[in-house]
Amino acid sequence: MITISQLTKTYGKKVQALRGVDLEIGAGMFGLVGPNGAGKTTLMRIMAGLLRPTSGKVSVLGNDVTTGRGKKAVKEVLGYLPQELGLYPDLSALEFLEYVALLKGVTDKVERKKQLDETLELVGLTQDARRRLRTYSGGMKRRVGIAQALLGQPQLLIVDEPTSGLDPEERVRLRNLLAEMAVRCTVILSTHIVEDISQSCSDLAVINAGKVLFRGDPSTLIEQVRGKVWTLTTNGEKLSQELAVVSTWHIKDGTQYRVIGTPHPSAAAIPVEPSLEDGYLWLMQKKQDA
Amino acid sequence: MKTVRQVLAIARTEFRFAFRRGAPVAVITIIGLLISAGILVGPLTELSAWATNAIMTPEKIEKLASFGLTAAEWSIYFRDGFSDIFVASTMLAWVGIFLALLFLPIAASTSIPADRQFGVSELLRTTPITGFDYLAGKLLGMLITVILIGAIMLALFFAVTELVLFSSLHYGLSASASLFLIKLSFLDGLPMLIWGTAVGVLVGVFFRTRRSAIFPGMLAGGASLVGWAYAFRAPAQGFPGVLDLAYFYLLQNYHSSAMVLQSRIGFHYSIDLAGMPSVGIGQLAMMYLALIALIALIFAFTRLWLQWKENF
Repeated sequence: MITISQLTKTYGKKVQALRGVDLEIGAGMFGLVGPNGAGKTTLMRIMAGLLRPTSGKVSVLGNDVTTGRGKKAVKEVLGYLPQELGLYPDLSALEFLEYVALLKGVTDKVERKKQLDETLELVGLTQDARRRLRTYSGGMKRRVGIAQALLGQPQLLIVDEPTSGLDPEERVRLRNLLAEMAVRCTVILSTHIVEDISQSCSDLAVINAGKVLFRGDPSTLIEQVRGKVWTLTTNGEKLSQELAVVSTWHIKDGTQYRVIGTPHPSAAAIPVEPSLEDGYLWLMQKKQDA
Repeated sequence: MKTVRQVLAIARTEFRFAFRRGAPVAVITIIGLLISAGILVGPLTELSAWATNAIMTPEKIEKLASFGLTAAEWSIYFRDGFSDIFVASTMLAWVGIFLALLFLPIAASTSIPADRQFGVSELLRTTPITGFDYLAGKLLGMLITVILIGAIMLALFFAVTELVLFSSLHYGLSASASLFLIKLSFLDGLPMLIWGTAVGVLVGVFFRTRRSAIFPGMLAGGASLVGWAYAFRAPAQGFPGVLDLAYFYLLQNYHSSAMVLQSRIGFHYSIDLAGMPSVGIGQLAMMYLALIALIALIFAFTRLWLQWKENF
């Protein structure tokens, strides 16, 4: 469905955001995870036809996004939620969504009304649809962003950091909504929050410094770190620098750490079941060490 | 058809913004009305004095006879003669209104930067519209706004002058004077507004924030007007408010028999263009063609700029 080969993007002469990315993305929900500045947004923006790559090829549903015709064809079937979502404060949610629907080519009045009603219902904004957007909270604005992405029945949904700024309840709700959408279309979810990926994606890529570090399903990434995740309890002693600390709890008998690596044999280390976050951190640690 | 609907959607939204972010529109409308009212005060006072000529006295009848006119003839000519003088006297007020209106298109330079500032630009670029559709929609929306406000202000101008003339002089606007000002608004005012709006909106393409676009927008708007006044200047000077070819062309065609009467009886106001170089419809057509070509050129340039800078 989406084929990316040898993709590079350089800003100016020095900043290399993408360095020869190769990816194949199929149907369903695909997670793109990496630290801030890894190149995720650049990759998403190229796929959406917003940015021209420096070199390489991107084919979305058989359309080359680097050509004018291909770009237009992709935009006909695209739903996109940018990382920094902007809305017109002078419009109501309904007016804004109607505007986007028209721009997406939903020109039939009956069909447009149907889609608007459905998406507003889906994101839980039916009651507030006629309020000006300047009166909306951050979470509500994010939901408007999701709603506009869903208009026009997209075949490809690209969402860039959709859960940032949302409270836990809204995050869960959004993840579920995206998972529902993934039944109907391809969803590409970019985030630096591993939990979002682990809860919803069956396929993922880890990207760092413009390169793909891992490509596969979450369980494979988890398997790579099996046997390397421990809990350690200390009484104030310093941990070996080779260990990556995932989390820290202060308990009655000292401090308990969840770590990745190989602890010193004398340490009271207890092996634990790895999570996707452990796998991700281990990958990052490996990259840093290399 | 779909593209047309998309362009119209952009235009409609732009039109909405103009009124919801209403402060600039209100301020400019008030400025325009104040300018034109100020300009109108003087001529209308003079017109009031002039209108007393309508009251016939034996001395006046005798004086008219010295010009070879009867009181009956004078009363027939009076209305037309008065409307000529009305037109001559209110020219500057009309120009004032349209110059004030030209601040609107200059304010239009913030239209595209506003999308970037609010962060909506990126979202719009992921829809199937092209940069061409986007620019066309923005331009159309702003033009509709400007034309609507222009029409309201022109209606107010007519209402005020009619009211003043009727109530203080017991003398309403004549059809010929009204027709002249309406023609003038269509053939001169409207193209001027379209030109200013196009320059204003399209200059905005080069700026990222509304604040950064205002001053360059004003400069470009001002320069475009000076350029207009120079490139399409009237072949003869000395008529109040006659800025360009279109105005001169209309004035020339307005040259009524009443003016002959006025010059014979030695009135102060005269818009007699006899002996002046004439402007034909061909020259006017060339002026419009040149404007269309210039707007198309600027449009094409900004479109290419969007494509190059924003892949839009």
